Parts: sequence; C-alpha cells; structure tokens
Amino acid sequence: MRNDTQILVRVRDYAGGFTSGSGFTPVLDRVSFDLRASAITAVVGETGSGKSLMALSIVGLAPSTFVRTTGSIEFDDVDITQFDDRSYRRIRGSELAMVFQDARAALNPVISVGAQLIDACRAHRKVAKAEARDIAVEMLRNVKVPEPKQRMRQFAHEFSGGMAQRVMLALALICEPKLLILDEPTTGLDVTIQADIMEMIVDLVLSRGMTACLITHDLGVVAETCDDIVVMHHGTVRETGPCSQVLAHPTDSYTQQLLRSSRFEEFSA
Amino acid sequence: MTRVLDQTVEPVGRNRSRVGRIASALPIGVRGIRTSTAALPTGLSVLGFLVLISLTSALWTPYSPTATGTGPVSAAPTGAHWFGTDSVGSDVFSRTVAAGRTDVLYTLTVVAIALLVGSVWGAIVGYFGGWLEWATLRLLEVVQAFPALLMVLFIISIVGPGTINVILVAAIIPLPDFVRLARAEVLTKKNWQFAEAARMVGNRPMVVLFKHLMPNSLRPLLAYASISAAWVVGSIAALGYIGLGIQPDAVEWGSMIARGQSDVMAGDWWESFFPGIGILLLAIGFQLVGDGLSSHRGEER
Repeated sequence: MRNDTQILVRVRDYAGGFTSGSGFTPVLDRVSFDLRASAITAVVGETGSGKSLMALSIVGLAPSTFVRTTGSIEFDDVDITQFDDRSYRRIRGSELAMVFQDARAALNPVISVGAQLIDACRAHRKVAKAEARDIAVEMLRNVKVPEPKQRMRQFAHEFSGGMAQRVMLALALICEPKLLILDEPTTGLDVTIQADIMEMIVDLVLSRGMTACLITHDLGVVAETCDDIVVMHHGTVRETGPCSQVLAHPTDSYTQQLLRSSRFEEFSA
Repeated sequence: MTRVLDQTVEPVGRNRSRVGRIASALPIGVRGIRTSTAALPTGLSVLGFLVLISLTSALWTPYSPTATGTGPVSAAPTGAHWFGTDSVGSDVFSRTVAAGRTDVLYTLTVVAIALLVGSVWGAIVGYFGGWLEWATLRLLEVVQAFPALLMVLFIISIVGPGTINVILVAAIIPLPDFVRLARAEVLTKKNWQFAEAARMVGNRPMVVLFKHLMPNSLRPLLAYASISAAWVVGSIAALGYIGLGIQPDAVEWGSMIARGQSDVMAGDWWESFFPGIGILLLAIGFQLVGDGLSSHRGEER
C-alpha cells in the first residue's frame, strides 16, 4: 500500500443541488473522496449519479443554477470552493483541466484547432504567438495526431471522433496541469479507437506524473488502468478504496450490483 | 412538408421593410426567388451594380449633378439627357446616380453602427446577465413601444437635421433588434460544450465571448443587418422627402422625389420616377441578400 503518497484533491462533505423557479433539488449528498497525487482514480456510477457534476464542481464549471450547500474541495491544500472567478481562471487549464465526453462538440466550429490551442497556451503562459504555435504543434504530436502542422489549420468538422478527442486532450494538457479530469473520454468512439485513446491517455498521465480522475461506465477499463475507485450512486459515495480491493471484494450492495451487471464479472471469473 | 422547411426566417419586429412585406404578398412564382438559393447571388448582383454605379458617379457623370440649365427645362428623356431634365434644367441621370452614392453610403454607415453597437451590447448582456441585462431589456421595450418612423421624426425634430444627426437617429431604430438577436445568440450558445471548453482552458470571459462565441453568430447577425438595411434605405429617403434629411438640398433620392413631385402632377414623371426606382432596387438588393443569408437552404452542412 502507498499510504505515504500525497493527496492532491480532498473532497469533503460536498453537497449541493439545483435551484429553479420551483425550488431546490438536492443532487450531491455529502460527497467525500480523495484523489491521490500521481494516481489514476476512477469515478464510476450510473447516469445521473452526480459524477459529472462533481467533476465540473472541481474545475469550477458547474452550471450557474447549481448551488453548493456544504462541504469543501481542497486542491493542493487550498479550499477552491472559496475561489472567485478570477482565481479559478488562473488555475483552470494550468493546474487542473478537463476532457469532455463529446470532443467534437467541445471544439469550436468556426475557429481553427490551432487557434484554440494557441489561445489555451497563451491564457497562462507569457509566450509569443509563434512560440505558442510551436508548443501547440508539439502537443498535437504528443497526442499522436498525424501531420500536426497541417491539422493546426483545420476545423472541428474535419476531424473524426477519435482525432477530435486527441485534440481535446492536447487542449487540456497544453499548460501541463497537475490534475486531469476525464469525463467518459472514450464513450461514443469506435471500440478499436477506444482502446487506442485509453492507452494513450494512460501513457501521457504516467509519463508526466499527473493525477488523473477518470469518469467512466466501463469497469473493464477501470480494472486495467486505475489505482483507486470511487463508486457513486444517487449523489452519494457508496464505496472508495484501491481498485484491486474494491473490485475483488466489494462491501457495498450497490457496488456488488454494479459488478454483477457489468461484463467485468467475465473478466474476474 | 418541404414547403415549410424551405421557408426563410422572417425578421421579427416592426423593422421589416415595406419591400419585404410587398414581396411576401406576391404570388408564389415571384416570391420563389426570396426562398430559393438564387436570393443571395441575385441580391449581391443588384447591390454590386448599384455600388459600381455609385463609385463611377464619384469620378464621372454626364453633367454636374448640381448644375442647373444643362439643357431645356423639364425635358423628357432623350439621347442627350437619358433620364430627362428637371424644372431647373438639371440632368436627372447625373443627379440620380450621384444621389445613389449618398444613399448607399449613408445606409451602410447606419447599419454598420447599429450592427456593431447592437451586437457588442447584446452579447455582453447575454453573457453576463444580471441587472444590466434587465435594464437593457426594459430600455429596449420603451424604445420599441413607439412606431419606428414616428420616433425618428420626433428625435430629428428635436436635434435638428444634418448628416451626423440623421445617421445616429436612423441607427437607433434597428439597434434594439440587434441587441436582442445578439443576446439570444449568446444565451443559446454560452453553455455549449465548446464555450465550456474555452472556459476550461482558462480563457478570459471577454475572449470566450468575442473570440469563441460571437463568430458563430455572424451569419444571423449579418442576415439581419442586410434586412434592416432595406428598412434604413426607405427611412433615409423618407426623411429626405419631407426635408428633414441629411441636408435640405442634398443630392439624395428622397429629396429628388420631393423636388419632382409637383412636376409629376403636370405629367413630367421622370424626375421622381428614376430616384424611386433607385430606392426600390437598393431595398430589394438588401432584402434579397438578407433572405439568402437567413435561408435554411443556403446553410452548409
């Protein structure tokens, strides 16, 4: 066990919900979990369990109708729930970044991919445009986009789903954040490409010593790649712990149910 | 069913030009051009033709547009005076093309001001919301509660005619629609994933808004700009006609029509007819370009 490792993100009793004209709908209920530094933590749970909302809360992009009622999120021992927009903007992209599920929707249809990468780079680093361009090309090369120089001039609709997801990853990694949150990064891609992308993500994360948080449905991927696991259900955390332990000996009834219903059972059998 | 899908987006609000309304009332065969893919090229050709003539008129006209006694007084169109002469012997052709330059230039200026101010204002209130948005909407409601042309006349009668005044006052009328349109565009797009992604990498709000969001709304804004230009053409001419225009005796289509009006009663139709055709062509040109841009059929992908 790596008990001595540092904790990068500490979520404690985080609760909140959506306000609307008709009142308040609680969504997250006293969520607590840790993301260990340089480890890959999986957050699993069914649709609507609040895992994406939790992730958006960490990067400070939860919808404006979402209101936090209690709890804290500590990033590097600083409570970021107290941050204003400006402070958040300073760490977003440079300290923590997120990869969205539908990469093609996350790339701007009317701005070239290169311009978006250069913008992201220059949002945090004081570099000249030409230098930012070089960094962007290098980044595209890192995520294995072929002919990166030509690709810089292209637009989102000229990219396949897999390529767009690589670009999205480059966008998230260009300022070398400490924490990378991946919200179902391979959902909606071809199965063969899913494996490629996942493998590349793991390589990039491990080689840079980054902390990653992978939101997914796929327990097979979790078993193969993740160190820790957080199981969420109806806005609460049901079980946390090292992957090997939780997947082999789930103590919570919902985790057991989840494992039974997934193909993971076939793997472990 | 395709009939419905092929419909162009009709501009809302009062600023739909009279020409647009007339065109809508025409039989389908004639109206077809507004909804077909021909709208944009046709409109651009008409506008291009008028701009070309206007530019040429700056360098050369058969006679000086302001010179009197260039030929017989109130003469019908001939080889020497293509559009005839007016009651003081000025050449109507020279005056018509020179007036075109004035009208085209002022229309473009008015629309550019309204488009620029309106979209920046609307985008900002749409993105940031809050009390500024509330105050803006209430202000627009007050402005739009008055009939457009009446409002223009009212303000002009207070501030007085003149180039700058006419331009600014004419720009106030289409402005609310641009604010509303830009605000609506930003409201629908500000929570799209690419906007979220732009924020995620740490871009400043103004960069997200004007570099990442607004370029996506260019097409509807330009379409509306062109449609409202058709209205502006009419209003500038109307102001010129009643003598509250750019300058009392400027070479301008509206004031030309007014000057020729009494002679029309005597049967000298050409003095008012040709500037009238100019107004019509310019308005139709803008209307068609606007229709073409807003037509779903013209949309790529």
